Amino acid sequence: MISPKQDKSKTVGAPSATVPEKDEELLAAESEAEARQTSMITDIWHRLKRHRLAMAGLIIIIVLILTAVFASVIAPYSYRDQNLDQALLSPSRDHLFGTDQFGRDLFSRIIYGSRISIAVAFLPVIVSVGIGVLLGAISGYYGGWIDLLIMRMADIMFAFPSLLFAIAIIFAIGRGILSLFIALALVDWAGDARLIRGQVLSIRSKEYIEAARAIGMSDRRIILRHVLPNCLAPIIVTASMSIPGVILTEASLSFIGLGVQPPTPSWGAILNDGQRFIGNAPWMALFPGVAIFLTVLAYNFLGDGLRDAMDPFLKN
Amino acid sequence: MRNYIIRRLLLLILVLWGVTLVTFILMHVVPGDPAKVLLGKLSGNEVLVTKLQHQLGLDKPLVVQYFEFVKGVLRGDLGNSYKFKAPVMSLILERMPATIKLTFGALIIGLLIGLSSGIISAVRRYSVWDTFSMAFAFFGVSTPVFWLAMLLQLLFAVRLGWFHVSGFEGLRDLVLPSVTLGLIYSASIARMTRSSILEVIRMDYVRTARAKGAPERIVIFRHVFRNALIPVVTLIGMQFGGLLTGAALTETVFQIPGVGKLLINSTLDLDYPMIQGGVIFVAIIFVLINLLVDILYAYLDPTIRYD
Amino acid sequence: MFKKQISILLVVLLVAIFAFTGCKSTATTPSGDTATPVATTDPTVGGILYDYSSGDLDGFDPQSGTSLLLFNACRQIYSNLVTVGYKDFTIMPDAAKSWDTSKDGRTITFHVRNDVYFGDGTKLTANDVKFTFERCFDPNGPAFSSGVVDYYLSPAKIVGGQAKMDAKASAVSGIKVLDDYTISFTLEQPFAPFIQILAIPSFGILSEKAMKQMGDTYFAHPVGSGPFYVKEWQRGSHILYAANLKYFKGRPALDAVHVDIVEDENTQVLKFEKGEIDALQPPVAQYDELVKKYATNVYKTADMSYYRIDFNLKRKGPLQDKRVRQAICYAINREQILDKILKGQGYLAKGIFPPKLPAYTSDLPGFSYDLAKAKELMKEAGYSNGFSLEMVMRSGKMEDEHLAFQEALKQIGITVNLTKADSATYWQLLGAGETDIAYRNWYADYADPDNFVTPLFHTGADSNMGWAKPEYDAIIDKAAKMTTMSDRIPLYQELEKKLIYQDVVQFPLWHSITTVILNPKVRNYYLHPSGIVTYYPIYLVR
Repeated sequence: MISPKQDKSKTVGAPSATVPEKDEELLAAESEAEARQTSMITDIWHRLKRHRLAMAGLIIIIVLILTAVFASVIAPYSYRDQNLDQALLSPSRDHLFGTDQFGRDLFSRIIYGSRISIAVAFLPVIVSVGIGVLLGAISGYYGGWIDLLIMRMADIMFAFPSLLFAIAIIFAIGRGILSLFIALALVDWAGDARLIRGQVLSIRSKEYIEAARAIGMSDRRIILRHVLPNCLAPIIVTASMSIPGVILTEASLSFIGLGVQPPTPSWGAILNDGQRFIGNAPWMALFPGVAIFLTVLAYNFLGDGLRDAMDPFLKN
Repeated sequence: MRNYIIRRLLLLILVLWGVTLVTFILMHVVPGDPAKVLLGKLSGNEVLVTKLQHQLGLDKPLVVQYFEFVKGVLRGDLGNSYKFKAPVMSLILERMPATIKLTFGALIIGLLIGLSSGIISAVRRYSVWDTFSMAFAFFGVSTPVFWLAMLLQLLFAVRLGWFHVSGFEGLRDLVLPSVTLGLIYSASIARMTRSSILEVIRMDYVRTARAKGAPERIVIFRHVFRNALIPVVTLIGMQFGGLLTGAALTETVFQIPGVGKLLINSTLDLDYPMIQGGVIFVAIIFVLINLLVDILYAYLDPTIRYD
Repeated sequence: MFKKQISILLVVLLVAIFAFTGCKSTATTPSGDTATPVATTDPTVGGILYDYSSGDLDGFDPQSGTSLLLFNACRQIYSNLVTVGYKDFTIMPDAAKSWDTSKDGRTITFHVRNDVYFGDGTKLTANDVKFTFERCFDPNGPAFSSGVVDYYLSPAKIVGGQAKMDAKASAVSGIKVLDDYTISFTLEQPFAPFIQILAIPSFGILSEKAMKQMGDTYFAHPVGSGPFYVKEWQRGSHILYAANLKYFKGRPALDAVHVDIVEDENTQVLKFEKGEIDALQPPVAQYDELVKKYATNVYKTADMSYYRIDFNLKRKGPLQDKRVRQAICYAINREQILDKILKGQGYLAKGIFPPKLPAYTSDLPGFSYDLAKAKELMKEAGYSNGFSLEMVMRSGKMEDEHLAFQEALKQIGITVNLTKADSATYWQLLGAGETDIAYRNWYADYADPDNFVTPLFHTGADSNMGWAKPEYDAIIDKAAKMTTMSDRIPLYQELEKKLIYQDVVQFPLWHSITTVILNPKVRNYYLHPSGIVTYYPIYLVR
């Protein structure tokens, strides 16, 4: 099924000498499979490398992650030291992004803020999409009572606007960064589930699925190898488009006091602060917005590129 | 299909029951005492707290409270809001018109801009138009609501004077908030539409149709479009529900007495009856929307079966 | 009285009457003269005033709360027995045309006018007054838990009031209806501020007949006898007050007041700039620009308020050491915060009582900003390594000041852990005393020092901060019984010194100033030191 350019010299390791009981043939088959696997990955990587936008996205994401990790090194000022005489200064050489109403350097705050916001943009989204995809695929594929059950659960989830549910979860677990993440991860799966289910319903009836079933492929393999890959596009789109939503939900939660506590910065919190000063200090709301925008862009480009790179492998 | 619909509607009752149960459990798992919230600064006074708890019926066993609530619902009585001391049903109903109007307004704008932009983008992939509209989509999604809102207010209400800055006293007042929300939603609709169409265009059955000699327009409309719309329709369904319940920020900025803000505030105020009532309303709406969407699926793609 | 929101309706203070209309932007204080009743003999009768409020009401029940929002609303639509002037707290007749006090000072008899009508046409009688106050003491009624009884009525000790609240009596024996237009109140002991308390909007007179008919729906469609009535109330959107043309003092100049409920600051500013609202309290974030732009229409007044930092003395910890509390008092640069964050809308406080309140004195040591001294005190107390404190704060209200305090205390090694909470949780935490320090304020309900001490420091008051002491109670109770202000003042001043300088239970920060920018066509929009706007005297120049 797969027609990668097999380059065994790069990928195969010598068969292990410490497993004398195993059959020679099996070993050979195993290592061939490994080779195909790893060379598939390298092939995807090669294709990805040629996709310029995707590479740009990847670079941006790496830069953001590095910023988050090395925040204390990169940031020129503290994120919390106040200097009331330097309040609301517009961007200048001393303060690249200007200062806020406390005279705190906005550039530094955004750098430190990336810690929370990048984590929020990745982890809860991945978990939430993961849950949603899994449930949605099962629901769409098996149909019947399973479908009804899962979708009704999703309906119940929908009844609670995500902010409400997040508030309830955080109230229950107690405030803190961990509960923030848990809450953000748990509240949004229903949408992805419905999305994937819809796709699956549509694919399920196609001939090649019938064919696969006819030759006796297990359900699990069918879902994993045929159904899901064809849902990749909407998955990538929702995942990347939901990042700002998650960041802004975090902002709302922080505003109410259920997210990060002041003076800890997050892009959402900085955005909130900037709302009042939009008339006279628009940079306060501008830069976090740009940061969010860049993250969304990067995620999207990378996602699109990944999909394109995996395309030949999906066709079959 | 008809049986399916009937079955779904019957299940609506099941869902509503599930919703009330989950809400009830959630509310009582969440630490916090509505009596104390109502007393505010006087909540340190034990005597008052006990009194108020008794008045609100909070000292009865949980199971009893739940059943009394369910009994009330079956009678059509959702109880009285702790905070407003008025019937929950009427409080929600009086805010529904605003929310519904705003939702439809936003949806119309979102669909118009989003669908057309997404389709053209997909069909003219990599063209200037594509780049432009995708850039717009990314901006739309990342823009905070209050930014956009204030921009529109400043430009169209203050500078040009075409609309009121805020308020809800006439259809005209709906334009700015609808545009605000609509633009943001159109962004994800555009993106989803484009990517979905592109997906479908690559599919084999489309190639087959072309090979069979069908004119391009038919190919697009009959084959590509209908299949591509499935995820888009799902998205729109979710946004519709989300608009109905989550437009709290827009409601605040534009001073619209809608359901979104009501729900958020009642959650924070631990106004149990209001939360319950609100959640039930929302559940009904979502179930109906999802049913509609599922029916649409079958229409768009006749091969879809629900067993 | 607690001020729960910052941006609220306020009244401009026009210092003198007409001669001084050229002087604005000065932090003038009320002149204390009796306000003139309505002057609407000129052709500027009519028109609608467009005002705004930054929050919505839960209802128009005057006994349901003590927020400024509710007070503002009730002031327009209900009459009280007595009322205050437009610019100060001078007592004036309202529904009662006169009153007598008995020789022992314990019984006050009010003579109610016979020409006051409710909105439904019924005449206001002494029975309505009794009904209103009986409801206050109802243990199942809202006043019981809203603070109205606790803050205002309990200190007055009306005979039989406590009995009714304890469910031992069905009526308050001390309130007697002598005839249709005469009602008397008997107190257990003389209480000087009693009459002033009756002017508080919480005691707006309700219509017995209408309440019996309408039950709880009364408060969505209130029936009052004030200068305006509620013509329309769309929750979350606006309130429309229409003029009561049969008002016994003469109809208001305005035809109506349209109050928009606008929570968002930016929207408030934009609406004012466009002319959709006629008054604006400039949000602090845009203060400088707005005051500059509308310089000729800016009005300020000194509020009779007290902003401070509360210390929790109940919880075990470093705060129990007086030197630590003193250190905190020297570590915060109040002047800078007042200037940069609050844009100068206040003046530094040395004590509890604001100027213009009897018992105010500037002859107090005060706290200077002295970091060295603060660190010294910390060291003395043995905390040179610092410690951490908890502080709760409300989202969206006064946040900036909290952050400034947090940073200031960091300088002396104190780590302040801010817990940002929504309004409901905030009041709960405060009420339960679950915070080490808190930034609070208090606005005068009436111009008597008792109003600043009883609700804050007396045993049984709301604070769970561990302040109450028999020593303080003794002074408060003694002063409350006396009838001559000049006798009482020294007692209050002694108490103030004890509380702040001897025991350091609170750190006085400042007394606030309120600024309002008006559309030039609006006249007689007075900023009252309590924060309430009365729409009655306002007229529009067209």
